Amino acid sequence: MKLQNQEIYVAYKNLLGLVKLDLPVETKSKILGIARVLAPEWGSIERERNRLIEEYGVFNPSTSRYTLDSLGENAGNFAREFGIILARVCPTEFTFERVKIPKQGIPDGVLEAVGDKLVEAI
Amino acid sequence: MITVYETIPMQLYLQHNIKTPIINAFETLYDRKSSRLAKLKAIRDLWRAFGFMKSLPEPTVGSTGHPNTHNLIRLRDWLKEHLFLDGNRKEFVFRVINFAIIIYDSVPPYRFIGDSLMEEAFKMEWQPKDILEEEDAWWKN
Repeated sequence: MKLQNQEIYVAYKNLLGLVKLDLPVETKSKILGIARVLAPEWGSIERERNRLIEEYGVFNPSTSRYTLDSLGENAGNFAREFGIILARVCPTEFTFERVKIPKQGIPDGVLEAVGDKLVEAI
Repeated sequence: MITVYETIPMQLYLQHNIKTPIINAFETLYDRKSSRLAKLKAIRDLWRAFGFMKSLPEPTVGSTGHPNTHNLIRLRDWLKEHLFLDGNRKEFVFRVINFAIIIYDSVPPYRFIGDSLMEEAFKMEWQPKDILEEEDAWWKN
């Protein structure tokens, strides 16, 4: 199965959030298995995002971090370049078995964010 | 498959830097109760939103999803070959066209409006274009 970078980027954090919920151990284990596979891809997307923030953001000495003004002149360059990265199809061929997760007790939007390629709401 | 215009950063950028300022500016400009200062600020916001359009990647057949969007892109490219406006006017026209194409491709309600207009236009007896007496500088066949 092929995934676009945005699917990976959004799913990964939400998968980690699912693991913290009260779910059967077997389900959590399957979720963690998918998250482990996605972790390196998520990491490389996150590094790209940080690189773009460093390129287009401003260094804040008090926090030692780069910040990007979302209404500033460089916001468009960041959105365009990060958008292009997120729209790319990840070259890795994934093989996942969809995890069946009961809808009850799951915060709104989490399963949708993970996507039906990875989980099946029951 | 999501397109670059449907990615989270592009959606946020389109919403906060372009669409919302444009809608708010027009609300102010058409509100009779708005002060002159508010209207001036609205014009400034419109101008800024127009400037933000410059950062959007030019829509292409490869970067958009809907088949009708691809038709619009072909129409844009056809127009580019025939329309010759002076100075910055051509850039202005095509920046607005590109923005409209992006909105058509990525926002279903606007696509619905666009398709509805097209459907109505096809029902009408549209008269053929006028014949140019002599070839104008702004149009080349």
